[in-house]
Order: sequence, then structure tokens, then C-alpha cells
Amino acid sequence: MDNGTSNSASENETITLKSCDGIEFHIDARIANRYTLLNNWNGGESACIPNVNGKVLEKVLEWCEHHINDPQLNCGDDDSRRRNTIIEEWDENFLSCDQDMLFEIILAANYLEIKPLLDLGCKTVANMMKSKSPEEIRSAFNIDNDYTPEEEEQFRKENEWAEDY
Amino acid sequence: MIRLSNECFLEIFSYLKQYETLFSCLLVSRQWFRFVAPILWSKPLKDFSDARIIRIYLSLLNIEEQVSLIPFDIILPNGPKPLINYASFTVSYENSHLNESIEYWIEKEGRGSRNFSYFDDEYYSVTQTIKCSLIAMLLRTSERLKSVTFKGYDYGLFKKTLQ
Repeated sequence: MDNGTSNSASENETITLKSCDGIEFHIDARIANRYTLLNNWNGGESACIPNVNGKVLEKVLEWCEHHINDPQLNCGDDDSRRRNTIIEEWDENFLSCDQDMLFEIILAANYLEIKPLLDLGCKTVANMMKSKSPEEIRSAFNIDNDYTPEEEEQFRKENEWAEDY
Repeated sequence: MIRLSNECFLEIFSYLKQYETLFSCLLVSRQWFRFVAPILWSKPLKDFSDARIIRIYLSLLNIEEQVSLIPFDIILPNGPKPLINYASFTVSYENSHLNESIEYWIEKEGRGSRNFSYFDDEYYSVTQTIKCSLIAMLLRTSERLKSVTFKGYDYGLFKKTLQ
């Protein structure tokens, strides 16, 4: 096996990743080569991934495997990705899990620097917010309202134009 | 219940396209306000005209910027100042919807005792003077401003683009 810094991994090479709760996954070395952070851990035959548990890592790796042949995006594509809020069918099904799992996938993708998966998760959550009231958003995302009633009322007035567009 | 990090929420807000949804997010909590207000106010009046935005901007004028408006006897907003200086969030400015927004504002609440009509020279002067005051205020307050673009008749008047 090569040392993980090269991108020339062949289809047959596998490496072992271990989740924070000790579950092992044998994955195609090309997946590890593709994403910087997984790649950094690929120093030996196996690598430990703190902060991500087995259940979540399994999902993340499932996504990586499905998208292994996607073209690599470079940083310049940032804006065009952002304008595009369409989600492919496979990805939509993949993320139609319960909300806790969705959030854990987003956190893991952010932690592991798997940018396309992070984007996908964020787009999904953005779609969930569409046309919801502040109260509905608070309860969906478990956020406390720390405004005073007067403050909330004034902010509402100052920004009410936005409600119409 | 799993909670997303602020870093992730910032990423999510960048995907919100509708002002209506941004408005709801703004009212969720103080923390979200700090994230969302700069997005909401980064380039208002770029895609639509609205008198209410002009009202907020006018209430942010300082004394010097108000002085040039005195001869026209217009009624400046006299309620409490906005809690936040929204103009400071402006990133790019285009004048395309500014004229129309100012006209809407004059018709809605800004007209004082003077009874000029749309076709009078005075009407033109008042909209131009309001525009000058607003632009002076934007240039004074917005720390994030990257570009100012003037098109049409205003080109000669305000030819100025900040890098």
C-alpha cells in the first residue's frame, strides 16, 4: 500500500477506518485519497476517526462510495454550486433520514472536510426552512428565543419589507 | 437532540434564496440575527423597489446629511432610530431601484406642505437630493462596501466605484 499522499490508488486497495466507538470500516483507498482529512489519517493500515461514531461514519462512507466517480470540484466553483439548489434523487433519498442523523452527517462532513456532502446537507436544511415562521424554525432546530418582546417587535418592523419578497 | 454548530448554520444561510425565509431566520434569536442581517441587507434595492427600505435608510442620516433636505420640506421619519445600523451591511450598491423607491417613499409618507407634481423640476431636485444624502450616508457607514455602480442619468453625477 502506498503512503496515502499519492492519488494513484487503484481499485483493489483498501484501508481501514475506525470510528470513535471502535467500529472498523474497510474502504476503497480512492475514497481516502479524495478527501484531504481522510487522506491525512491514512498513514498506515488503519486510521482512527475521533468525533464520528460508527452509525454516522457508515452513512458518510456510503455517500462517498456512491460518489466516487464524480468529477472533483475546485474552489472556483463555489458560487455556481451555491446557486444550484437542486438535489439529485439518490442524494435526496440518502438524506431523508431522521433529523438527528441529518445533522450528524452535516457535522461529520464539516469535520472531515467532505465539502460536497456538507453542501448537500446544508441545501437540504435550507430547503426545510423554506416558508416557515420564526417559531416553527425555533422548534425544528431547538433554539431558544432570547429576544425581549419589544426587541423582537422592533426588529420585525424594521425588516418587514423582506417578508414580501 | 443534535444541535448544529454556528459554522454549519452560516453555510446553511448562504443557500437561502428567499427574503421571506431570511426574514423568519432573522427573528429566531439574537445570534441568528447577527448571521442573517448582513445577508438580508447586503444589497437590498438590487432586485426590487420598496419605500420601507428608504425609510430605514433616511432614519440613519446624520445632521449634515439631513441639512440639504430642509428646503424641500419633506417629512423625515421621526420614530425611534433603528436598533442596528443596517446600512453598514451594504456590500454592493446599484442605483437601479433607488429612484423608484424614493418616489414610492415620497408618495407614501415623505411629502410635506409642498405640492410639487411628478413632472415638476422640483420633484426631480428632491429625489436627486435625497439620493445624494443616502449615498453620502452609505459611503460614511458601510464598512463592507465593495462596489458602487451608477447607471443612466446618474452616471455623470456620481461616477464613482470603490474597489
